[in-house]
Amino acid sequence: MENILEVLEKIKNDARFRQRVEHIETIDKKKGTYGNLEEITPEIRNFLKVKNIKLYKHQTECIREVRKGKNVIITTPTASGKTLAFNIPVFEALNTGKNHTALYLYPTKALANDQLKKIRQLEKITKIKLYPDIYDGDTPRSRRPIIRNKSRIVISNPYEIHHILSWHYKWDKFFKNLKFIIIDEAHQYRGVFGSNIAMLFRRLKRILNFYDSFPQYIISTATLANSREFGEKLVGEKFEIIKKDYSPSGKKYFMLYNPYFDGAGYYSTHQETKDLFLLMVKNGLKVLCFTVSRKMAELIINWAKSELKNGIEDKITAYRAGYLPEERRQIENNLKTGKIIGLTSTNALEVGIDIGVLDCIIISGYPGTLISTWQQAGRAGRAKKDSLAVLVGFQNPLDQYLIKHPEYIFKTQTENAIIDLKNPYIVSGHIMCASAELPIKFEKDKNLFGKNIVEYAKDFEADKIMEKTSNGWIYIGRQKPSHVVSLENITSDTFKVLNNGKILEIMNKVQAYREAHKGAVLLHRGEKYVVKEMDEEKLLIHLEKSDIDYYTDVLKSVEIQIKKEEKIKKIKDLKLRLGKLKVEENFFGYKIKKYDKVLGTEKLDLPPLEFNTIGLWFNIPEWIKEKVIRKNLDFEGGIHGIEHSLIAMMPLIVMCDRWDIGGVSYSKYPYSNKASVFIYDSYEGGIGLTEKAFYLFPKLIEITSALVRDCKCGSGCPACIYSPKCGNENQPLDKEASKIILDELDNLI
Amino acid sequence: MFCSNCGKKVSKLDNYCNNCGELIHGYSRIIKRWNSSSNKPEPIEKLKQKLIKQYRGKNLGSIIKGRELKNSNGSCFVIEEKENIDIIKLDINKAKEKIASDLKLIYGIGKITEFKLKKQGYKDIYSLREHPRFKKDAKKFTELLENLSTNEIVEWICRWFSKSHPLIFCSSAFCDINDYIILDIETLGLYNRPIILIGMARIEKKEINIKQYLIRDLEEEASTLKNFISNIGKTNAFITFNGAMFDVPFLQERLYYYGIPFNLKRLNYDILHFSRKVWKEKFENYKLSTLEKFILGVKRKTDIPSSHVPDFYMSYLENKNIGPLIPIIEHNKQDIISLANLFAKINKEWKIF
Repeated sequence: MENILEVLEKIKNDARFRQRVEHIETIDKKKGTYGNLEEITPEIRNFLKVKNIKLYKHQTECIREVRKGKNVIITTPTASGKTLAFNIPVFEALNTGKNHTALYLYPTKALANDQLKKIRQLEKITKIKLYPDIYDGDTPRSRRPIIRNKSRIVISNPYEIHHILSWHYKWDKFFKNLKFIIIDEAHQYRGVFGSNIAMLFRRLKRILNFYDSFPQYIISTATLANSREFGEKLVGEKFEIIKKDYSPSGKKYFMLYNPYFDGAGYYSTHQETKDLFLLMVKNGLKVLCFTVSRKMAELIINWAKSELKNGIEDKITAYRAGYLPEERRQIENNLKTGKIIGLTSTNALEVGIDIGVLDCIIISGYPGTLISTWQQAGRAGRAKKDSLAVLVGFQNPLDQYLIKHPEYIFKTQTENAIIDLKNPYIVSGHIMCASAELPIKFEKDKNLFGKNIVEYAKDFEADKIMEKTSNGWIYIGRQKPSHVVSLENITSDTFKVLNNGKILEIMNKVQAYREAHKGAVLLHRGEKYVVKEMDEEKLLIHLEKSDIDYYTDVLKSVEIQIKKEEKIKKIKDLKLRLGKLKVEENFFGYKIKKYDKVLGTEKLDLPPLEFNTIGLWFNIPEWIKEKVIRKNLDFEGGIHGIEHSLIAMMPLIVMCDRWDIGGVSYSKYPYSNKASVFIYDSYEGGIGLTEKAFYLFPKLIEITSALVRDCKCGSGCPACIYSPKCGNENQPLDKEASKIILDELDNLI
Repeated sequence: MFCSNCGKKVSKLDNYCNNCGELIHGYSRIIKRWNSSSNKPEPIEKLKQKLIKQYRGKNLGSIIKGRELKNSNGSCFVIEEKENIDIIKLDINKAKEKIASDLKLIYGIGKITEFKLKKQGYKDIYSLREHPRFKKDAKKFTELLENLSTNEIVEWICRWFSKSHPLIFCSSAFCDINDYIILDIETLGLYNRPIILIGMARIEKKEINIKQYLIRDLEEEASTLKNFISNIGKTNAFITFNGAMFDVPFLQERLYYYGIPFNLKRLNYDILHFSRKVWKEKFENYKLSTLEKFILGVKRKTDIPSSHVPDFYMSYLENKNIGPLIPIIEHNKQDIISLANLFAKINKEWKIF
């Protein structure tokens, strides 16, 4: 596509953009390699003919492995035809075995809808009637028995499975005949969430075995550093891996764009993003822009609209979580048909929803993981067209480091997806759920939940949650266990956002405090609304449409309080503590802004958002602090750095995702006036992460100290002291100071 | 003490191994989090304590007449009793007539068409067998009626009408009176918890035979279920109170839970739904206790509300004292009797229409 080259030339030559281009990585175009199948059923052959599809080699390899009865992980990129690679063998098998069934699991409802469309099309053309349908929380009661008994492909999500397992008798027919379980977008199941899902799959497997069912698993995931290990841990089976991508792709340009090329910058990242977005739209490129927040997705569209005319302003829109499903579907269709050519979105579109061919992706701010970065960039350039991806860096040190070190993005492997099969909090919860699904029998269930199941069961009995009988250990607790155990962090109350009594969107409490407090400007599909009232009791937010030309930014502070110290470990003169913490977020006011200018600030009177958890903390001995200061280093930057690097290394010690853990450091903790570092579980009530790290602390310090000491970067980088989830934009940080503190701590221990 | 995972020595004070991170002790502390107390109703302590005192040292057999049954899964306890209730069910021919008179049961016939057809002289579905357009369906349906294929008839009616429609009730006339099973269970909770008592009754001339299967110990649940299902044949039909929503699926879930692949799907005449129709807008609510009070004039002596059954049962287990068990058995028996009486009442009420 010449347009891409033209636009690239413009960016490279135009004084407005020129200096800001830090790097352009060219990824060569690639010819497709097609594969052959020894046999192909007439139905599928006809489908491929009608759709004019020639199968790529990775697709035929996948089909072949599935036909052999193997479990398969396919990790080829977005748009490489993964879906077809498993849909074909599933359809073949379900066509031969007239009662066979398949279960598809998706992490979101939007994806389930998208998949249903694809399967229905396949069904229509192949004339293999499978009655595919979605079975989730939205499925009406009256449809449920029909789907269970008739549909041979059921599309659902892990949350639904969690709740239906204890009603397995209703699925008797479906489960008895289950031949395939397809787990799509599986990379989302990592960290604590992933560990929960892994246990859920063990519960599912246990029920399936009861019905004499031993299905094949097909996992589809984004590229991971450890896909095989991940897949095997997720479901506890051996897998064949299909990872080489044989689909053709046009030339790809990946540009690293720095608004702060001269250190200070002229415009904010958001303004720069808008200008790039406009450039693409004006040059007729189909563009999708990922933003870090819902508000920015809306603002960028608003700004861009005011600079477009001749109807083009109507061809751009925002797309984000919070929109109602019909709205989203309409936008998806408009994008496919060309009614929409420019879109801003939060990571809602990062997943594989089919939105047709895009020319260009703008990623406004590093999304926090390389997995996400590549998922987002991968949305551009389907088929043979050239495409462009632009990463626009923020001013924070992490983004700046990435923009200036292309090798970090282009040469390092994506993150590991970690799953812990031993976390006692998670495992025990699922053992409890399992006991309500079928009586627990140690000999069999040990293989699924580990040998400690014996200990758990005895303690459950002592608490009158289980009872030992000759039929196994049965559940006798008071509540439905799947209501007590939640797969994800418990979501708090949800607010309804109303305009003239009509629901505009739904948001959770944290989002509401951040974006829909009284006086906040809320943007929805380009329209501006001012929040008139936030009714905390009825969980309603009342809006009024407005044509004001400003927007708002909430101001918040975070404070940690020690609620109860439960354990203390003295390691020479370092005292490590473990206990209950209260993390309090205060939304104390908001800024009124026009473009990047602050027009004023207003006070807010909201109760703090509290969150109780378990964490560990320690004070830095005074003499270490003195040593750092004597060397003229920034002590505050030093402890901030060690907080980040400790969190970065936690996944190695306690098998979690770094996003599962939070931390705060104080050069002077207000309650003790001591320099303190806090690290806590980002889960209400704690989930055993920092608790375990407490006992392994010397090891944690040892590897963290080695990490920072051996990191070859100059003043810090994402591999050592920069954090993708820092609330203070990675400031201040001082790597030298961090190094000294960690060395001393390591020596001490 | 040594770590079970890596074998290194661990201190008594540590919950996790300092070498490999294996959890050593503290399971019970973690498990506490799953013991979230639900909204237990205020316990009726006074009554409970009185019962415990009254029955101290007594054993079940000496108070309640019952016998022990055994099967491959273990033992169970059954209490049998007779109660005088005169149930006269609907007349088969009248029921047939009534059902056949509703032309709307035939595909393509709505209210207006029915009105027109009746004017033309098609007084029932039998006469529609001569109609050029509707004869096919009419023949099919009348055949079902003639063969008294109750399941298919109910299925057919459900296609057009709600499950509480009087025509569904009419179909109960086609069952043999011995095929009815009045059913009511007591459980430890609404979901996923053990059953503690299965009450059932069969109708015989002017009386009902009540069988209550009591689970004396949670150990007995599976064997009790097995004994219970030995009562159930292909042609049985249940009479329940909200049983399609609760009792039957609950029993089914527990059967599968213990790996007993018995399918409980039978016709179910739900007294709750029919009562709502028969005594429409007469009562504030349609709980069994309300209906029996106002329609049957029943006054229970010492009764415990259903919500307290789990608590009483657990007290019985914990104290090894049969006191708290007594009102549960009584409560269930009274439920069965009231159900039977309501069924008889509805038969009378709907006889005339």
